[in-house]
Amino acid sequence: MSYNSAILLIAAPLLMAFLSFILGIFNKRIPAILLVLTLSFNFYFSTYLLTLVSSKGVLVSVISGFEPPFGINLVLTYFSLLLLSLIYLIILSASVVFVSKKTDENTVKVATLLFLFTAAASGLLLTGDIFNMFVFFEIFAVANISLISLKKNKTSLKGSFKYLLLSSIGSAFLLFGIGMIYGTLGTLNIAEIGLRFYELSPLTGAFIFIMFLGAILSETETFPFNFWITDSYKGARNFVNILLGSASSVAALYIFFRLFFTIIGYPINNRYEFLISMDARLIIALISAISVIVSEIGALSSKSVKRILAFSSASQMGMILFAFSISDFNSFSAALTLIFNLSLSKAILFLSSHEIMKGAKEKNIESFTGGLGRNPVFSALFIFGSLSMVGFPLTLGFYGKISLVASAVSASGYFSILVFVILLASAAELFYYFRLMHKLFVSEQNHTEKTKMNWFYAASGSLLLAVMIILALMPKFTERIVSSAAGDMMDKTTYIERVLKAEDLK
Amino acid sequence: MRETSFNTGKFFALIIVAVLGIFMISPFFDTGSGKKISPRLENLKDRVSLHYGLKNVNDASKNIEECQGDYYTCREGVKCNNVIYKETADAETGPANLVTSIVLDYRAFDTLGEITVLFISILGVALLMTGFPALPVKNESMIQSAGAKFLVPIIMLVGIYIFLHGHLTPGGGFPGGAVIATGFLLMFMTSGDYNFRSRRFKTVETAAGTIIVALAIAGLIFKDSFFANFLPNGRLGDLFSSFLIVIIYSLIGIKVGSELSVGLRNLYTGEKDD
Amino acid sequence: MIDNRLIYVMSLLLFLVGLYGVLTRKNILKMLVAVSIMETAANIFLIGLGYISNSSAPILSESLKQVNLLGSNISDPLPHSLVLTAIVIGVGTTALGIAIAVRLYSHYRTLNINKMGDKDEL
Repeated sequence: MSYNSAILLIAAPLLMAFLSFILGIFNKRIPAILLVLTLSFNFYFSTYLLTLVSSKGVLVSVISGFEPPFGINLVLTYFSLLLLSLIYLIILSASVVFVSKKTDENTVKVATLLFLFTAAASGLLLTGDIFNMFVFFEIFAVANISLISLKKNKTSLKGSFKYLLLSSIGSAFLLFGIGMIYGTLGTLNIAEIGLRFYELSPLTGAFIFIMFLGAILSETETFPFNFWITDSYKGARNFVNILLGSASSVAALYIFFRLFFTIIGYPINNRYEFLISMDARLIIALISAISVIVSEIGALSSKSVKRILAFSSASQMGMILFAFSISDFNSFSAALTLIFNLSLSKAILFLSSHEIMKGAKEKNIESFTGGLGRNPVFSALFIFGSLSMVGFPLTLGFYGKISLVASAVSASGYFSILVFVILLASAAELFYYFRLMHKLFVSEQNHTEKTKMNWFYAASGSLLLAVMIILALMPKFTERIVSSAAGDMMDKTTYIERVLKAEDLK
Repeated sequence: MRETSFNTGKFFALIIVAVLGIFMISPFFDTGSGKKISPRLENLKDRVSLHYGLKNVNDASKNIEECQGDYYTCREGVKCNNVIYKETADAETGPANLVTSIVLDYRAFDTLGEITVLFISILGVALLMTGFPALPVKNESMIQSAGAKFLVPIIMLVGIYIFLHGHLTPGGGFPGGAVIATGFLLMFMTSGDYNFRSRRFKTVETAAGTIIVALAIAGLIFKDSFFANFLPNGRLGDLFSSFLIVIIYSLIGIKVGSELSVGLRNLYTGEKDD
Repeated sequence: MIDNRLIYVMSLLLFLVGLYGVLTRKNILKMLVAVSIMETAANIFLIGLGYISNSSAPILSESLKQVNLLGSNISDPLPHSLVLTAIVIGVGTTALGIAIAVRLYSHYRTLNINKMGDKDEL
């Protein structure tokens, strides 16, 4: 039996994207409903494949009928399917928010954009070919740009232009890196490149490393390539914030892992070592630590709530990159827990803060005042989200941060020094999230009118919250899935063996 | 602020570019050990594209399966049945243009992504240009508009020729579609009041996109692989050969042509749903 | 008989010119042009990777009946197809960038990115 039908995860949203344009002529509601249906199908199918992969190991799905390394192939690993299910869940909640909006002339087009966003995310996470990854990377970037610019006001246009500029530069860098790989190794298949990367001369390897860094750092919101985030997050519509802050971040982190660990790194003694001369892990760790510091300073000095959330997202991404750079089993588990925490709680925070600030003229911290009286449900959601974000005990963030610190301390010299940056950052996070939460309890006005409840938002938020609570209250279950995925990340050999159909590569 | 003679921003940009430049150029003059980019390429022996050229990818990958474990020595031992122009019938892929055989057969999935990028960026343009006021119409001279009316049908014909012959000659759906869109651009630029209903174009475009994905899924159903070629390939080099590729390239040509025309129209007159 | 390194170095220089342009230009259309230059440089680099001297284009015809077993009589077809994809992607992003530029111009009546900074509240 072949697993070639896994391509439906990409083909179904793509087909629907084209179809919804035609169906939208008859009724503008149809595409939005199809969107929710398709995402439910994709979520179901990806979890089905996840159970399949957990029993059978890495599976390979062939496209065009040509076996790798000649044709393009999809690689189904536990790690990629786990993150993919998470991304589908987030897009689903964002599209529930989108469906609740009144239809206008743009509804069909935006639904099409969301379909394509889904297809691009699936393609990025599943593909086993580096040029194909570049193509999906571009679809993803263009989808993000179009989504950011939806509001067409000054901030959103500036944000989307900056993003476009950075992602185009990044794509040129990535093309150079891909060209170098093809020119030297003669292949584009990720597994084969990963197998043969050690053959390259150190200078060539370093060239590819730098090109990949240039390509990915703007997507992972790393300083100094993260100046697009403030305008983009501030100017974007609410459901776009959810997509940007959660789904895009997860996808970017996944690409980061594939580029820097599956391709360049090789696991030695339960730790990834890079196959190029300089200590690339330390470079990544330094970049991420600087990024964490700068983002926390940015968040502390901001008044606008969306800016605070954007900077906090960037600092969390920095922490996850730091966890990647330690690169042993425990730090990968910590990174996965943090990814879950980041994506779920950030989506909740964006969703609830939008509802709390509804009607306020200036969307800054002051508009949170008396939120608990006005809007108890969403205030409670916000409090849950921020507690998890700062790593309050018994939340997902707590487990993630604890295991990150533990693995950093047990790692060699530099990493245990840099872990102080993470601790400082957590303290800063504690400060600004508690400032926001404090505002919710303060009420200046004597009359607190309740704002009207938006049931779609509540449904979407409680869906995410339910997943978060399940993950936080069932540590055994969470540990099982996280350690399976981390084991998958460490096991590069199986990935290569299964793709290239070579049984005993050692 | 007045421009000073010493510009700090430009100075730092120059330093960044210089450092990056020295770093980027060094691997090409690398004398160290290990595999590096060769100063002169002699043949395609070490590249996957050799088998795209010989059209024996299936044999090559079977060979890899046979000698498991010892992966590298296999590629050179592939039995070579290289194809001959106007003689070989029912080769692995039909097109005589090897680039087309890669674009639409070996790496067809990339092309699907390419179509999607173009689709999504034109969609983004439409979203951005919604409600944008149309530019004032300028009436051009009679010679220009008459000349354009004479030229446009020829341009369209050339575009159609390019995408129908994509499997034999340079060209294909994307250049052909771009040429067709040039015809519409010429009409916009010369006859000031020229306009068309964008909804029809969009319907054609999305219908073409739907059919392409549907054909790919048909491959999944008939040949158990997305984008698998399930139609006969014919004799290499004939006009009536590699039927699936001709169909998909024509659909891409129609799609790209209408897409780019709508995009140009949107930039010119703003997006309206009519 | 051209050394392939000539193509690589020229494309890298073009890339650096584009990067310098992005870093220093203030006009957003010029920035888009600079980005296009960078993409073109990457495409030239890719094409250069497939160049074999004294070889013909990878299209079978009356003058090129078959590809020889080492593939030394054609230039590498794979970079050509990659570049085809990369060009179309470049066109798409450029179109989107121009649309954003048009919109930005209608808001600010200028294309200078420095004059677009309104008092950005934190």
